[in-house]
Amino acid sequence: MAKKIMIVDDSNVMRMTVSTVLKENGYDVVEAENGQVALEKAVQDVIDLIICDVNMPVMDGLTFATKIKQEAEYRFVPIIMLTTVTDQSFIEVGKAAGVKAWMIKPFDKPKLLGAVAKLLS
Amino acid sequence: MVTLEEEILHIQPQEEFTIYQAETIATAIMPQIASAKSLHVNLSFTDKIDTAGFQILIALKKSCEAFNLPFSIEGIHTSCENFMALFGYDFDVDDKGVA
Amino acid sequence: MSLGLSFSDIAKEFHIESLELLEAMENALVSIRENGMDDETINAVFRAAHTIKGAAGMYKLEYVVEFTHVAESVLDLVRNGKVAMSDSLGDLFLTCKDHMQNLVEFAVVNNNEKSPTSDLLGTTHTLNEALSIYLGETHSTEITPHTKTPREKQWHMYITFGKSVLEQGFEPASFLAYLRKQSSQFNARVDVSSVPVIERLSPTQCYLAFHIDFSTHISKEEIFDVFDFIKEDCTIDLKEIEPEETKEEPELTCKEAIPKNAPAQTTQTTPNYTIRVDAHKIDQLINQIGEMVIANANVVQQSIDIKNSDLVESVSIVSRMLEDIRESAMQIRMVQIGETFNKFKRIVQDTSKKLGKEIELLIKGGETELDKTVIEKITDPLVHIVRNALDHGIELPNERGEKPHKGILSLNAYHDAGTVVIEISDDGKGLDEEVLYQKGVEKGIIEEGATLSQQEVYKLILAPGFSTAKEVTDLSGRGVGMDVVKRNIEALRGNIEIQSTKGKGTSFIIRLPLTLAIIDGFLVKVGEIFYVIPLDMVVECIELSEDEKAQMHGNNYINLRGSILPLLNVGAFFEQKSAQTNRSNIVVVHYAGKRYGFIVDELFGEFQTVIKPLGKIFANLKGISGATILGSGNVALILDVSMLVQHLLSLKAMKSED
Repeated sequence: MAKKIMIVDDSNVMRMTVSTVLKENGYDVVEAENGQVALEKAVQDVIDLIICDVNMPVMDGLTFATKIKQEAEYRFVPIIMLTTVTDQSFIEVGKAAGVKAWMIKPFDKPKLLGAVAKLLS
Repeated sequence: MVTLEEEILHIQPQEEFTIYQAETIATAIMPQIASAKSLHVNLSFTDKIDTAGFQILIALKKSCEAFNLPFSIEGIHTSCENFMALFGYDFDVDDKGVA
Repeated sequence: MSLGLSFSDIAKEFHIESLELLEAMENALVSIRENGMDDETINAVFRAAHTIKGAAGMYKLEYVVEFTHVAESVLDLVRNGKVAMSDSLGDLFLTCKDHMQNLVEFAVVNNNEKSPTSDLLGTTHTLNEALSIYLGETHSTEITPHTKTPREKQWHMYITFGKSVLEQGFEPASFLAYLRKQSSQFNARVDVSSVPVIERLSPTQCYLAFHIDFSTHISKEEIFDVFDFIKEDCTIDLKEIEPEETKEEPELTCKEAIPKNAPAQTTQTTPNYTIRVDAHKIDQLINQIGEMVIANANVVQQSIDIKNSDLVESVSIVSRMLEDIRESAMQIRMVQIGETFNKFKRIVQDTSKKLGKEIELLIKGGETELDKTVIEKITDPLVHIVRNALDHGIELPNERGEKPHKGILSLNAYHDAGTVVIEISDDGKGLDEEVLYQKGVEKGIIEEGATLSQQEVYKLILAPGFSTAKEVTDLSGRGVGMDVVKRNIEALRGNIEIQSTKGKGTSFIIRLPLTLAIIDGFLVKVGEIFYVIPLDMVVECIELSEDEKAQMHGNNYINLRGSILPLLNVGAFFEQKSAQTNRSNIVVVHYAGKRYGFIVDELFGEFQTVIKPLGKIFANLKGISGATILGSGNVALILDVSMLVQHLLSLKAMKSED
C-alpha cells in the first residue's frame, strides 16, 4: 500500500507543488493549511510521514510537531520541516520536539524525495 | 569507556556523552565505584554533551563527596564548556566553591 | 531543479494566493498605523512577504524573490524590535506591498517568460535603497508615539523540569538556549540539589532546576510559550523585577506552569477555517437546489391532489428542509463587506494626506454579508464615491467654519427588507442644486428650463462627463467618472439615492439585492412563452383597451395620463406568432428615470425565483438575461430590460431620422 504523507503549509502554491512531486512518486498525500487542521486530520487518519512549514497562522509548525508527538500513534512518525526559517534557535526547538530533518525552501526535488524515502524505510 | 586501574576509576566517554550513552555508562560505573579510591573523568574525546551526560557528572561528583573520594575532570572541549556555561556551571569553580 | 509543475500550472493559484496575502499585509499595515503595533499584526505582515517569497522561489521568479527578501529582512528586524516601526516606515512598507503586487501581476501576466521592465526594476532599486537604510540600523532608540514597541523587562525565573522530559525527547538546554536568544541579558544557574548520587541515579530522568535572571522584550505569555511544549511536566515561577521604585506588580507565580487556558491561547482555540471552493461549484449547487425546489413544488401539488394528509405533512417537512438548504447554499456565497471597507482606510489616509485635509474614516456594519459577486462589482463604484467625497465633499480644514477641523467620512452597511444598503456619508459642504443645474445645462446634459426634482438634480453628478470641481484633480478625474457608479449599480439591479444638506454633508445611499442568484420578478406570458420582468423595475400594469389600441400610433406609444409612454411589443421583438387573444396588457417599467411600456398577453403577478444562467448557445440572444424554471416545469425567460429599452430608443431614433 502506498505510504501516506501529510503536507502542512499555509501556502496553496507550496502544497500543490510538494503534493505533485510526491504523488508522481507514488505516495498518497493529505494536505493541511495549518497546524491545527493538520492535528485534526492526523488523528483521524494514518499518516506515515509529515512535511511541515514553520511560520503558519492559527498554529505554527513547531507547536504542531510537539503536539503531534504527544499522540501515541505519532511518536515514531518522522517529521520533516520544509521552511525558509534557518534560525538555529528554531531548529533547536524543532529537534527538541522530535523533528527528523530540516530542509530549506525552495526545495530540491531529489533531496526531498531522498529524505522521504530514507525516513520511510 | 569505564575502567578501574589501581583503584582509580577512569571514565572516558566517547564523542557523544548524551542520553543515548547515559544508561550504558551509568550501568558500567555502578559495580566498580565501590572498589574505587578516586574518580577521574576524561572528556577529551567528547564534543557533545547533554543534560543526561551532565547529570551523570554531577551524580559522580556527589558520590565522591559522600564517600570523601577525590574527583577530577579533564579535557573539557569548547562545545561542552559552552553547554555548561549555558547552565551556569563550572566544574573547576564549583569544585572549590562547594567542596 | 525540476518540480513536476511549471509556473503556468500554478500561476492562477499563485496569483490568488499572493493577492490575498498582499491584502492581508495592507490591512495589517494600516491597522499598525492606526492602533500601533502588536506581535500578531507585524507577524502577519512578515508572513505575507515570507510566503510570497517562498512560493516565488519555488518557481524561479527571481525578481520577486530578490525584492521580497529585502523587504522581509527589514520586517524581520521590526518584528524582533531591532528597528522601530514608524509612520514613514509603514508608508514605505505599503509602497513595497504595491510594488510586490506589480511584480506578481507582471510574472503572472507574462507567465514568467519575460524579464521585468526597466520601470519595475527601477522601482525595485529605489525601494531597495530606501529599505537598506533600515538594514544598517540596529536597535534604533527612537520610538515614535504611534508604536507600541514593548519595553524590556527584567525577570527572575525558577524552573524545575519534569522527571520525564528527557525520555520524551526534550533537552532542557534547547529551551534555555532559545530563551537566551530572546534576551538581551541572560544568566542561568543550574540547581543540581535534586541530582542523587550515581548509585541512585536513573540516567534518563531529569533532576535539574534552574535559576534564570534575564531581560527581554518578549511578553510574559511569550516567555511561558517558550516552555509550552513541556508545560505539563514543569514548574515555573516567574517574577518581574522592577528596576526602579517598586510598583506593586502582582507577583506572578505559576504552579503547574501555565494555566490550561492561558489568555494568550484562547484566541487560537476556535479558529475560523476557510476552504477555497471554485465559485462555479457553488453556482451549480444553487442551481441544482433551485431545480429541486421546483420539482418539489410538483410533489406538493400532487400530494394535495391525492388528499392523503400524512403524505401532505411529510411533503411539507421536506419542503421546509429544502428551503433551509437553499438558504444555506445561498449563504455560502455571502461574504462580509468589512474587508472591502477596510480597503478604504488606506485610500482615505493617502488621499487626505495628498490633499492636505484631515479626514477620519468611520466604518459601521462591516459584518454585513452580501453576495461575493455583488461585492466584487460594487467595489469600483464605492472607490469613486469615496474619492469624490474626499476630493469635492469634505473641505480643507480652514474652510470648515464652525465644524470640527477634522472631516468625517463614514461607511455604513446594513440589511433592509431583503436588500443590502450601503451608505457613504461625508460631513462636507453638501451639494449645491443651483451650481449642479447650471453645470448640467453647460455640459448639455439637460436643457435650459427643464423641470427636475431635487433627486434628479443631485443625480446629475452621476451623468457622464459631469464634474463640479473647478479643475479636474488627480484624484477623482481619472477619465472614468461617476457615471461608472450608476452604470455598475444598475447592472447589479440596485439603485442609488443621494441626500444632501448644503453646508452639512452628502450621503450616497446604495441599495443592492442580497444576491444575484435570486430575483424578485413579475411573471407575464406572451403566446405560449413565459417572461419574467425584474420586479423593482415594474411601476404598474394597465390593460390596453380596444380604444387605446385603435389610438396607438403605429404601435409605438400611448398617452398615459397625459405623457407619452413608448411601447415595445415583446412578442414582436422575439418574433413570436401573434397571440390569439384580443386582450393585451402593458407592464410599465421605469429605467434610467424614464418610463416605458412592454406589451404582453397575460399577467401572473410577483414571484421570487432562482436565476439560471443561459448556456453559451444563448450568449448572443438579445433581450434575455437569464432563465428560470417554474413550478409547473415550464421555462420562463428573464427580460433584459436595459437592453430592450435601448432597442426601443434606437427604433425611435431611426424613426425620427426618416
